[in-house]
Amino acid sequence: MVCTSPNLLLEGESILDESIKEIQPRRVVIDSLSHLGMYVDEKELRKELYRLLMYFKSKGLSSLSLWEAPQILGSSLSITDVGLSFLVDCIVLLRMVEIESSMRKALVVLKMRGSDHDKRFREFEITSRGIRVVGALTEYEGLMTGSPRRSLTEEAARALGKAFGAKPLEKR
Amino acid sequence: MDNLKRLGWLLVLLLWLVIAGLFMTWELRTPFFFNDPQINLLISLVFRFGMSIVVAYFAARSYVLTGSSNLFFLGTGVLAFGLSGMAGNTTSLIGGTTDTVIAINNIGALSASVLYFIGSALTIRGKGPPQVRPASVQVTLIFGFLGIIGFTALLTSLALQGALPGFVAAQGSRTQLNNMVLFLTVALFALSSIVFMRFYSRSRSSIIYWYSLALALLATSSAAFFLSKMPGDLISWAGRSATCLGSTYLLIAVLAAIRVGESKTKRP
Repeated sequence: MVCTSPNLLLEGESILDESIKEIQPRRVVIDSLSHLGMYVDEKELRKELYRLLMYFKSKGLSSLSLWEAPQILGSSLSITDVGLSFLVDCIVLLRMVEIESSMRKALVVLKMRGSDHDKRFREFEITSRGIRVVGALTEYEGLMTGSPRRSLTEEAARALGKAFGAKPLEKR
Repeated sequence: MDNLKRLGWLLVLLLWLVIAGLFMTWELRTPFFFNDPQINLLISLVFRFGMSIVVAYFAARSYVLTGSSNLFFLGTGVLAFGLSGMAGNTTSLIGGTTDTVIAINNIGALSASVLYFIGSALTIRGKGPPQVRPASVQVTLIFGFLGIIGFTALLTSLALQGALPGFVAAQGSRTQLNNMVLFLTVALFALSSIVFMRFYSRSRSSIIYWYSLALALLATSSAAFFLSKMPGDLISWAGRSATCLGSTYLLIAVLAAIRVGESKTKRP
């Protein structure tokens, strides 16, 4: 792990060159691009990040970049504030959603170049053993708004079960 | 009780009166027979098969959510009823005789009535319907539905090969076996309907109300076939009307569930 002030990354590739030579990594994680954004003028940010990501590409490294989504909840959503989506091959959106009066974590693959990827929202947990993707949140609609509701068929099935005296199964 | 519910109950009463009237005036009337295989198939396709698929879908979804065994039997029962109706009437277009059609229809209806009856018994159990373990729900559902499809296919194949005992005797009258099958079907559908009427008196759920009336109509339908003199006479047409109305009531029960769901999905 290389811990450094993000602005140093923008002052030429020397610091990265040394680390790459020493560690010989295959993957690079930038945590986070939003942090880098603090040191660059908003107009220049796209250019700088393009340069950085292309640099990793030229070195044969896979890069995983994090960008902090400005909204926690709400119906308006931009993936990044400055329009960076075209720079990357894959976008995974992590989002908080309110379900049954508790905040739960959901993820969805928004983009994966050259792949017919899973389009469903999935719940995930961060455990002591790492991230654990639980299951698809198929019974809900409006997850992008952060306050989803159950789908009509789901509610109808629930009402049918309730009428017959059935109780919902306990969740794991 | 709202007007629609009253109307639902009145239509059941009306059908009972019509069937009783037709049965009692049999000797006084000029005999009437109409039995067109294509019309029978169309009726089965829309009312028995089409509506059964909708109800089976919601029962299956509800079963996956709750793991409640009574919903499993509702789903498999409605599927058995719908599939056997369609399979039976389809055979008349591919060389099946009246005996083949009646055998598949009546055995299918009997299987459905058994499944409905088990479902009703589990619903009124004191501790509530038993739940399947979450891990087993989908496997049970797939096996259950595939089992019904397999059973109907086997029944159809046996009937087409003439491997089933006769259901129609000489001059279109019924055999003892057919009478027994119909009698059992009527009894089981009627018992299930009574059980759910009692359950309704406690729950006051519209879904249960329409479901119990639907079961009463399915019992009425089998009773009409039991009382009919020949396939295609007026009483058997009253029976077919009861089947159509019963399937419609099953659909209304599901629509009542959708209405409840709709009220919950509306944002404040």
